Amino acid sequence: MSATQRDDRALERRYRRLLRAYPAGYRHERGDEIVGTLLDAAAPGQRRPDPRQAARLVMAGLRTRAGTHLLTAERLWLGALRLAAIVSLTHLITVRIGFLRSWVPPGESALQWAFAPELFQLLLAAGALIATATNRFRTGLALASAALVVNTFLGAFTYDPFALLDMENSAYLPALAALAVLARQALVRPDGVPWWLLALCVAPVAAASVLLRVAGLRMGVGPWLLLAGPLLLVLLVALLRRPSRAVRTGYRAAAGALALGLAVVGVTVLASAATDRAFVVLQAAPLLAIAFAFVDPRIPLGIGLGIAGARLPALVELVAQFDPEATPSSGLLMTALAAPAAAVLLAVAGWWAGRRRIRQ
Amino acid sequence: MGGPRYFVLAALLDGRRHGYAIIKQVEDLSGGQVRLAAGTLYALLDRLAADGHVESDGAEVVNGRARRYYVLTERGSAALRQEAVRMAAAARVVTERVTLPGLGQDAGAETA
Repeated sequence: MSATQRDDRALERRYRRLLRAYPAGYRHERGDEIVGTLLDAAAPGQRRPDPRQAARLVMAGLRTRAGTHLLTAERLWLGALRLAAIVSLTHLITVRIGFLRSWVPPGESALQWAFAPELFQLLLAAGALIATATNRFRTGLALASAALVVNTFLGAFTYDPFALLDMENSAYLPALAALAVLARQALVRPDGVPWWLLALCVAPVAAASVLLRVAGLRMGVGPWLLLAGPLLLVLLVALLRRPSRAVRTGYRAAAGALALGLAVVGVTVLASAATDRAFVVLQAAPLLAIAFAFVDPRIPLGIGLGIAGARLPALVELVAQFDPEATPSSGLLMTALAAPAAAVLLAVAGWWAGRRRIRQ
Repeated sequence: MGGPRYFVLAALLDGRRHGYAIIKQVEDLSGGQVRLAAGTLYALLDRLAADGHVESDGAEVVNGRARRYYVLTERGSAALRQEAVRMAAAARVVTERVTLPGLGQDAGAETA
């Protein structure tokens, strides 16, 4: 074997390693051709991949895995709306689960509360989430609307008439708005977002939770209940049926989006008691989502729309109730400033990255 | 239509080409302004094929390296021509009114 052949072999081996960024099926079909082109483009005696070629190869591979290499403007917006609906519904459900626990008085059996309207609302919202995750948007819209009716019924007896602007209920607005648009789409169905991308975005929030535990703050069981709810829902979907390919795609997207919904809930729950260190880690979540915008712009755009839709009404209420005499707490500042700002930043980053992808 | 997409279609105007030949032709046609990385090229080819603008036209192995050839479809050719007409019209908006450096004469006088 000549020195040139040895160099070629070494370079080919390294390029094939980078090619693992692509899905196996794509690699099988196009891998040899791409490696052939890369070797043609290499300088004589080159043994290591060109950094520019390597970076573009990995990025193109990740985009192919995410399914965004064929992204169109329509699919970008539909995918983002689907994600916004899933994140908002997850937020609603996890908050409701947290409430449910407080609804059962101490010493009484939880079973006798099983038919409470609060639980009914929770089940309707859970059904809406499952329908949305499996691309059945009309069913999702009907169930979410029914959940809102029950919520309004509860609100008439328990809390004030403006309950929809509450932090816990305002997520109905983006969820219903996104589902109303999606339900009108008869032909184009949004694609799923791969779970691994979403899971990577959630990692900083999980790290923040761990940090809080290490810091020894007493958070009670509320956050853990919030965690258990979506996980049980995902398990339920997995057990109920052997999903078709389309549903599996939706399920994978839902699993990741549920985890991201937890990120939203995490910010809300932890805001009132978090340390500055935890806030720093929490702030890494939107930054990471922006970093992934170039792989899958639906992620920041969808989450941004979801959070902004849910947080902005709460912000309006906070501004209306602002007392200049009082010193605002860090939790209030977080809700009033950081969360909406992060949401808008996410949405803009996703929109911009999507525009770039589509124009290419 | 973005620059790289336009140049890839233009590179196929003279006939079928394989991946590396497209990269070289794009670089030549753009005067070195557009240098496509292989990852970018194949993502673009996937999108162009999905839009029906290019299609695969056979494969072979040359010196142990796999090559697949691509050709412009009628739809791709029409899209390219349409974009060229659009850009020419946009360029005329300026060249008919000002002298551009490098052209050596009043472009407006030439086209009038």
